[in-house]
Amino acid sequence: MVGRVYRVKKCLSYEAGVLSSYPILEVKLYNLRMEEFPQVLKIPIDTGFEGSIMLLDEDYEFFMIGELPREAWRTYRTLVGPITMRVARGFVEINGEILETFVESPLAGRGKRLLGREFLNKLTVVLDGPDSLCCTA
Amino acid sequence: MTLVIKKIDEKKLREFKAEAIRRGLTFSKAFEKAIDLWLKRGQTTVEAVDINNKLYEEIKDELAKKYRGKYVVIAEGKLLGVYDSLKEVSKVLKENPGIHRALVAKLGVDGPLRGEPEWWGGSIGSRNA
Repeated sequence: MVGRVYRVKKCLSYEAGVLSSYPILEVKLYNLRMEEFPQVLKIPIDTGFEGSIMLLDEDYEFFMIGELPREAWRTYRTLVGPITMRVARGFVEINGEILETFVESPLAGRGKRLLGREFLNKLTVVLDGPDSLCCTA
Repeated sequence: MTLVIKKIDEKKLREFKAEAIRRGLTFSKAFEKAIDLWLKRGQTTVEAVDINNKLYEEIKDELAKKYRGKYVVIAEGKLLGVYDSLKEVSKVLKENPGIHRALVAKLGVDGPLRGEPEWWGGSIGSRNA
C-alpha cells in the first residue's frame, strides 16, 4: 500500500449543507489592476466544474478590467444545456501565495461562487471527510 | 460632513465596521471606498465590451504575428499597448484609473477552446447578467 505524508498549511471545516456538508477554501481575489476584492471569500470546491473560479455576476464586474476577448469566453456543457461564461484574468491569494487565475460568470443568470478543476489543479488539497476538514498542503 | 443613516441593517453594519478595522481603514474611508465601488458598477456598458472586441478582431492576427505570447490591452475601443507580462499590464491599468472595463488577451494563446468544457451541476440562478 502506498502512503503519502502531506505537510498541511491550513484546514477549514466543511460548511453545512442540507444533506451533507461540503468542502470550502478561503481565497482573497485581486483584479488585474491588483485591487483587492472587498471580501475574503470562502468558496465551495466543485470538481464537476471544469473551469477556474466561478463568481456571481455582481462579483465579476470587479474583474472586468482584465476581460478576455469574447472568442475566448467559454461555453460549458451542463445538465440543463450549454451555458456561456464571461471570462476575465485576475489573481488569487491562498495561504500567502499569489497565483494568476481566470474568473468566470454566466452571461445569463446570476452565477455561483465555485472553485473548479482548472484552479484546484494548481493546489494540493486534502479532503478529510470523516473529520469534515478541507486542508491545503 | 456628518451623515446620519436610519434603518440600516445592524448585522451588515457590524460586518462592515469589522472589515474596515481589519483593513486598517477608518469607518468613513471604508464607506467612501464602498461608494466608489458601487458608482463604478454603473459605468460599464455592453457597448464597452463590444467596441473593445471589434478592435481586437481587426488587429489580433497582425499583432499575433509580431507579438505572440505578449499581452494586448484594449480599452474604450483604443489600443493601450502590447506588454510582456501581466505585471506590466497591471501597471498600465493603475496608470489609467478612469478605465473600468478592458480587454486583455495573450496574443496567439487566448482564443476559442477546441472542445466544450463541462459543468456537471449547472444549477445557477435565473436573473440575467
